[in-house]
Amino acid sequence: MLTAESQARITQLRAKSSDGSITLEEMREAVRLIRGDRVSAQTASDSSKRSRAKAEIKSADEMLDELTGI
Amino acid sequence: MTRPPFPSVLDSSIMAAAHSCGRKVELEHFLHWKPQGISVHLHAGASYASGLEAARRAFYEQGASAEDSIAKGIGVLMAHYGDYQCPPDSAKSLERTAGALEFYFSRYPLGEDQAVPITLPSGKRGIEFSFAEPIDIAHPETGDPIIYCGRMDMLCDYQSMKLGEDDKTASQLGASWPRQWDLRSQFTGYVWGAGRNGIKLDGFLVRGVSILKTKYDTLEAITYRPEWQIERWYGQLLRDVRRMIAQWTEGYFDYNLDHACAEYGGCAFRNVCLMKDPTLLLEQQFERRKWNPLTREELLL
Repeated sequence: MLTAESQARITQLRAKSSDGSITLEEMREAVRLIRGDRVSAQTASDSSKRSRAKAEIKSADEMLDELTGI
Repeated sequence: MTRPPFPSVLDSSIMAAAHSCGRKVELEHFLHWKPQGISVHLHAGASYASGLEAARRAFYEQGASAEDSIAKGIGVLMAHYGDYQCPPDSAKSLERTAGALEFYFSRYPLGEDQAVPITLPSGKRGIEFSFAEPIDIAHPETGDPIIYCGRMDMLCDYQSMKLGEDDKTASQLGASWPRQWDLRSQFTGYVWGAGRNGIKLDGFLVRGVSILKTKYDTLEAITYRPEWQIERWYGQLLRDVRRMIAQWTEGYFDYNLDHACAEYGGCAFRNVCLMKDPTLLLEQQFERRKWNPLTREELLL
């Protein structure tokens, strides 16, 4: 999800694209904003998956301890 | 009997409508009724395609760096998307559509992508290749040959093959997504059209990017078209066009009244077919826009 600041800047760049006044540097800036959003969303998703997995997997020792009790 | 003009140029969209339902092709492509407003899927898809084309031209034709080519692609995509208001329940907003383009080039980086646009005999690169070829059926009004046309996103070399390439945006890319292209007439017609222009294609590379609210994904599929399939497609095209001419001549286009009415979220004309006299509904909820397959633009009538 884009931050409010990034969203506002994209809106400005969108208007400049529409009226043809956008510069190459501003197009590069748009790519940086969009890429930043994608990469941070991907990182957040990966960390969330990792933390969920950590809670579910037991160590080999723990599993062996459980077996000795049977 | 007054008949609407019979289209002089056909493409895969018109033929797909005809395959789906005679009444649909009559309403959509003979009488030119379209739902009011522009579909977000079509608008986002067209904006995405314009950005891809601009980025590829910048990189392969103008010699720009990969990063600047993507920047130019994003600029063109934003200009094409314009001030279109994305429906709130759709993921295909300007930001997400531009994000899909950036994501595409992160997965298929310019300069590393194995799909490289071919160089045509004219010296141009095979980016946005169009064809318009006469078929062996005369137009029922003018007597000239009916034209079949198409436009593909790229003609490319890919792992020692020569393929057409088509980029699609989707809401979801499921396990069945790659399988749907193997018999798809759109691509067989494109291979036929390229062949008529002296370019022998082995098949098609289809790349899909899914645009969801929180993530993107991509899949690609290669679908082959041996000569016998192309011949079969052409024979079927002629049969389908003859059937369309027969229905147009009779002044009655056959209804499907079956699965086609509910597929893909429901036919746009479902409510029209639910009414005995849909004249008022058409005038109130639809507008007349004529699709030009050659320019790929719609003209408000």
